[in-house]
Amino acid sequence: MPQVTLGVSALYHDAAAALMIDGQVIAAAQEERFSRLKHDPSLPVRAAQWCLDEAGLSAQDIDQLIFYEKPLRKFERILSTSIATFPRSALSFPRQMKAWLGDKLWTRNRLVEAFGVRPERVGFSDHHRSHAASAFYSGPFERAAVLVADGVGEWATTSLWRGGPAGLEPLGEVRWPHSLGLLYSAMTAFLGFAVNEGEYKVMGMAAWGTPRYREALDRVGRLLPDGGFALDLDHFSHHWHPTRAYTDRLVALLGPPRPPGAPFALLDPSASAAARAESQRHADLAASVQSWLEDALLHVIRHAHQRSGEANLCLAGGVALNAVANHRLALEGPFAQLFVQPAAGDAGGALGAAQWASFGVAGRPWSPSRFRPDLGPSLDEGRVADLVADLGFPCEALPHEDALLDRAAQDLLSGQVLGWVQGRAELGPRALGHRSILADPRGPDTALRVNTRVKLREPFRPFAPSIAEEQAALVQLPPAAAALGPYMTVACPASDRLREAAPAVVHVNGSTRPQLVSAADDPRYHGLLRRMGEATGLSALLNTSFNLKGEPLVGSATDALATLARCELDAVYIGPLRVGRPPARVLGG
Amino acid sequence: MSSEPPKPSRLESILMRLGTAGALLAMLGRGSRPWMLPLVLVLLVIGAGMVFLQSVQYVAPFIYMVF
Repeated sequence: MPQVTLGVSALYHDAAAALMIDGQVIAAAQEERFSRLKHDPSLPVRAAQWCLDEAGLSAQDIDQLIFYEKPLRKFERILSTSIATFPRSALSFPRQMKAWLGDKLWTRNRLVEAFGVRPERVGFSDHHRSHAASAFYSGPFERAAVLVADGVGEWATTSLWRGGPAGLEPLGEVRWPHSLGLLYSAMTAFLGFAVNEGEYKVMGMAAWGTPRYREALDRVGRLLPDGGFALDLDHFSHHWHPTRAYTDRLVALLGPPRPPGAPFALLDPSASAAARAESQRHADLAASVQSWLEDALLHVIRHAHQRSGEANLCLAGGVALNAVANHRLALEGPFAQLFVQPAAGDAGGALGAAQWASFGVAGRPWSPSRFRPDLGPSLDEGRVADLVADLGFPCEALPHEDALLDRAAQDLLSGQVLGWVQGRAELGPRALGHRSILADPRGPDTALRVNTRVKLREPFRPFAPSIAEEQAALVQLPPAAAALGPYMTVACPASDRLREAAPAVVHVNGSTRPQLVSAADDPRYHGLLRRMGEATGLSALLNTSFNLKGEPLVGSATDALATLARCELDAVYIGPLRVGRPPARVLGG
Repeated sequence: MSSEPPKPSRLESILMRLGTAGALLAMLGRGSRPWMLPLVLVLLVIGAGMVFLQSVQYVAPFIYMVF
């Protein structure tokens, strides 16, 4: 009988489900792609149902359902922290208890009721073990050190593991409330961005500044000789305040926080000198926390290298999505090779929980492989054609591969901004050519066009390129980051040629966050890049996630058509169909 | 899962909750925080009350007045 394992992550943010059969990952998807609520934390009932449908199974076929963390351990941490910080925790304590006693403490009941499995088939991993498993068992190494860094799991905020044929062995951890992720999140809130959403924006803003607050931050977060770190908790309130992550002492140290939504005046020639100075201060703060995080991670992995004795490193946890830090780890760190789980956040925890149960507990044989994040729903092309016809969108069927790619390349070369919906959706936050918005990266106004017509995101944030693998010399990927090429998980210097030819995908500091596409991994997308290369000499495209501001990535063809109708994309390629902009009556005009 | 998943019986639900409460108390008793046991016991009684009140159709709307 095949062994069916369902991994589930939920109840904090980015809920997901992952299905494995006999140690093979069959499907994985985030609940937000079905519910259309960004970072949806609710139990991933729809995602799990899709996973089971994909395998032709029902809930009765699930042998084990593994939740990605231990709620009782988390409850223990919340209770003891509330007691230790009383009376400051008086505001947060009732809220926490209401959430936990009325709901989260009874996660086993909720899982049984939501997924229809027998109680004895429900198991629990640890938060960091799930992350570690998602990185190691998805990675290309037989043996590796594994570093997990995020906000917090049960107690651990940073943990070190050794992965090998015998499984995952814990080597050490830094515990709550000292957390790299929560320091970065506190600064994210300080800079006026939403926590768990705006961390990318801080990373993007950092390139505009100089780290002149670094000395101040060194006082707030100290690196310890044992390879760990400690926060000065007088400056933070994430461990006792219900909504605010920093105290007035941090404000006294760094100056007033940036109000949410404050304009970024460095890109506005008409802005006053005072406004520009204030934006520069914000950028300098972002640069300072980015610099602190990079140095802290380097400190941790140098110790990890000594402690583990391994040559290679796998990374997971939300902090591992910091592509700029990953570059420094690859360039200056002691490890020969890095692998970063592309779904390094909590969505990847579902995959890791299932992998831990399959390989770590059941002891199934495992071998390293090249991870493919396209584990989500695919397209039913017959139904898409019917849907497009029913809705009255202009549609052109291009069943021949060459015709499809020629037409798409022609559109891009004429300056059109396209949706590109092909194959199975990606797990994790990165669109890697399956649910992407594409544009020709040449020309100084491309980024502005994509931003104003579709994405509406902050002007200081850069776009990223997809590049055909044979033109990898367009970017200067460090040798230790070779395994990160396909996933957009590392930012590295752009070559002079890319800077001159494609400014839309090069950040203000000359860096870029590339996806290298091979013909073996994605023949259709590679074919499109190759055609761009034949026409322009540059086998590259601007590739950004196919979603509108505040929405999750599109999942289905219906989502793609709904997005097309609500923004100024020129067309969407869904499988072999080119779907043009809908007539005014469809738009309600 | 294409059809509605089978629901556990009320008895099964209660037993699962008791199992969770027992596991929590055992974890605290075994670990370095046995001093938390009395607090957790009180909180579990409150939690059981919340769960009960939420499950009673005519009382549920007033639960926010209680807590």
